[in-house]
Amino acid sequence: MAQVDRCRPRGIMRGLARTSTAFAAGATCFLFTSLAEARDRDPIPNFNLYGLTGLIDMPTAEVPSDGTLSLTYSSFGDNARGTLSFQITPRLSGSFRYAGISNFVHPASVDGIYYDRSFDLRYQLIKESRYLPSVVVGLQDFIGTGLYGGEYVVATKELFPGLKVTGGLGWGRLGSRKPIGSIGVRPTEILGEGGIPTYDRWFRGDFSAFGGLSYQVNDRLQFQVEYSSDNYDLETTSGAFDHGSPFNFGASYFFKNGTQVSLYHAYGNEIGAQVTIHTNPRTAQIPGGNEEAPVPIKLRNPQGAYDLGWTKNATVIASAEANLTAALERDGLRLEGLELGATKASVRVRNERYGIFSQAIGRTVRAMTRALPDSVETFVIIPVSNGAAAAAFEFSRSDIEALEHEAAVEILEKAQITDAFGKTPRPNSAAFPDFKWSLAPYIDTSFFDPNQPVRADLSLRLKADYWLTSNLALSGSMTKRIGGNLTGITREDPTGLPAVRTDYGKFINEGDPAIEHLTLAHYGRLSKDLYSRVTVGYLEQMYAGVSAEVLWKPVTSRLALGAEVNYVQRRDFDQMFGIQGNTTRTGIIPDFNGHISAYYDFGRGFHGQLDVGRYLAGDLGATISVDREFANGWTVGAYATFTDTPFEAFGEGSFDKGIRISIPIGAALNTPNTDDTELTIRSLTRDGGARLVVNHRLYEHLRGYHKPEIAKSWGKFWR
Amino acid sequence: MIQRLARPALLVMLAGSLGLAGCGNTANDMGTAISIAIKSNVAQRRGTESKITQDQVVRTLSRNPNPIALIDLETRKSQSLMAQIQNNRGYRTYATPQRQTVTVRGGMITASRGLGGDLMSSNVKSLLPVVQSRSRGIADYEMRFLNSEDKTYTLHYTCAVHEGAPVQVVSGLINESGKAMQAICTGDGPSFTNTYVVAPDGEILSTRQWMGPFNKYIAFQQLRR
Repeated sequence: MAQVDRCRPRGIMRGLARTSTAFAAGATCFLFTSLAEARDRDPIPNFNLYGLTGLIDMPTAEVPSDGTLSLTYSSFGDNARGTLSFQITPRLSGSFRYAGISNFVHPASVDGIYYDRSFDLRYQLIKESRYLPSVVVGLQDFIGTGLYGGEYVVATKELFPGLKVTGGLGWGRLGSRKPIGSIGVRPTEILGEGGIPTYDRWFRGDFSAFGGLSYQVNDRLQFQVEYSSDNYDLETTSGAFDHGSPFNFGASYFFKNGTQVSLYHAYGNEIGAQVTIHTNPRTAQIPGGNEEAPVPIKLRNPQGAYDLGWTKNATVIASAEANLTAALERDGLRLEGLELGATKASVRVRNERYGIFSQAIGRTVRAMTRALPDSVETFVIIPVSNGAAAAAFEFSRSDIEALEHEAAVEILEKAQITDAFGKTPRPNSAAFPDFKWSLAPYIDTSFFDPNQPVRADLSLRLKADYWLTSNLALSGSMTKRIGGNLTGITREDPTGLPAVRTDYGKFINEGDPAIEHLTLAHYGRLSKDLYSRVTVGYLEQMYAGVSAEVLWKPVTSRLALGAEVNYVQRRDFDQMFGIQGNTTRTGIIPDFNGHISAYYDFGRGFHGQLDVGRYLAGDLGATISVDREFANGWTVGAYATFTDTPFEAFGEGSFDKGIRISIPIGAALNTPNTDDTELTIRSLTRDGGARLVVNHRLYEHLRGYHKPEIAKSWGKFWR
Repeated sequence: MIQRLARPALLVMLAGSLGLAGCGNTANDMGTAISIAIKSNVAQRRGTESKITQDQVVRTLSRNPNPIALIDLETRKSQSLMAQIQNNRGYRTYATPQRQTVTVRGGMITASRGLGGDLMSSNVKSLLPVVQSRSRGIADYEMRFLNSEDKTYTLHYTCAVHEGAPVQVVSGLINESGKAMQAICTGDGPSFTNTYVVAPDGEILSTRQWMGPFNKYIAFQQLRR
């Protein structure tokens, strides 16, 4: 059941898969955004012991505002639960829960503690109105072994200001006390190897009624009383649970930032406590950011447009370039090339500061108005992302001057955004080679190993990027552990496939110091709409080899198509320069794997990706991913991989699936930044459906400069 | 001096304790971002309330020949002197030494940058002439902001402009008679009342305006036109 979470920073200088600067940063960002201002936020309803909107142990039909991301830790008696909940759409929410039950007699218990993971979904059928209550239907623990399995339909109505009444019907666990009826027979056997939707059980078997009242005394204090239909049968027979009463009583205190702290008296004999913190990508950040003001647009001398005398004057040209370089540098932008004509200037510019790319374009435009001769009427800005010209933004300088103080959408309408292929100025010789390095401590984490549910290491990471030319980069990252308890993972999960990932414990234990990656990468433009990448070397923690990728992405298209093929050789466990070959304890890893991918921006904040191909272990299949994306760069999503690996060969969990959250550093710190951190929680680390990890896959680096994406936060152009 | 906003100290310390600050020459590492946050946070705590003294006004006026103004962020009890750095066809942009700017048209604030929660732009084509005419009237008014998601939203208002009493404006190098004007605005967002003191030539010598849900009221007073 153990697994190491994959936490991955993406961006200019990112590390490798297991690296968890990302997680540390992600967790920090979460706390940052959650504990900070709660402005613009609707009141968030009370959360229960399951980390869902609810009373004490029972759910209510209350729904937090769209985008609310909530982290709950609760404990009562022998039960401890950590839950991450996300309001996916205004009506749909999803939760992931990791629970531990102490004093629980079970073959899988470790030191008497039984650990369990569960996923929930809730959907609001009816919104509360003058006469109608809010009605929510919920599936609890709907994937997995079903320890917490239950379904419910619940209604909540505010009777008087502050007083809410809730009533519902529960199946499964929630129908275990004094059933009032029954629908068919609820099966008990587990489907596959667990980990697939328990659809055969939903709303079947006995059902019971539950309900309760909540009274909101003021903004800060709420009291709850409920009748629970959960009999805690399993906890009573296998554990030390003493069910004394179905009535539970609770009190919650809400801090100004929305954080909830609750105390409970539950099931007659238990005392419980809970803390829930919230954040919301839509409200967490200082609106518009906190960075320095841009320089204003400089108006031209009215006669200047006709003065072309400078075009023959090398000093004027050199000084224009120097001024532009300096002006851009002050805003964290790097001028890599300038083509200066009498009436048109094209710049290639590298953005290493602004995570919202429209802002980088806007700041470049401003600098150009201050540095370039008056006769230059057409500005073409070509941002370069990892050496590849991402797009060409063409503006008339007159429009820039006229629209500086108008709504940003007006300049967007005038801008021409096209493919930069064949339009990109040559990089100037001074810009390359370019060397960047960093040395920083980071925290590496591993969760959900029952032997040690939380493991963490403090390590040092030395990273360097050496750009030999504008599109050829030598890149490396090395780590050295300082201390912690991450080593000592001894699990060797049974697997019916070559052990492409399940030997992670050996890599962690022996890799100190470790070369995370050491690669030479080439990024290119094959033709209009076509981008390429070839990466050679030690690609990731476990594999060396060659990775080649091609991406088709028209500048204004919502659709992109990609293909990737990889040749891999397994690295030595110590992660130095050695290769151990592809023979593992459970089979031979194929030399080649690869995928074709389709990416699509559905609009309304949803993005989908489909990858079809051959995975590391040689299994064939597809990964479907759906993400809710926010204009400021936050994403919350889920993925599932289905391959031809039989469930028995895959092992516990049946197939690979997980949820992932990506938090832009800039949004969390209110400082422009192109990095973001990715936290992935997958049900289990297994060998089926595993993909190679390669830095700088093309799509994510390019789409931010393309039309559907950049237009979402175009308001930052003038910021 | 207007301090940049930052996260509460506890959070910055937490980030620091996670050990993400490092060294290197990359422009974009987490360490740099956090150290900026720490610095601005420390600065914020040192000088939460800043009042501009008469000495500072005199010094600035004598050293800088450009138009000068005083800005007062009421919610932060923070003042700063600003010098005009650009005039784009009547939109005049003033900057603080900390690289925060305010743009005015005819003395009416139309935008800000670097304050956090900035007014990105506004449509004063209807309101400005009414206020400048120093007579009563009804006018439309539009304010555009970015939300936390970095998406633009617009607040539309209708303002009832009223005449007030004559005022003698004595501030910095300005000593002129003006007329107080009041705009009571209702619309998409919270209702607010802006006040202006308008010179006979229509220039707004001092203004107290609602600048959005984040900054609320900001006063801007010209010290030299």
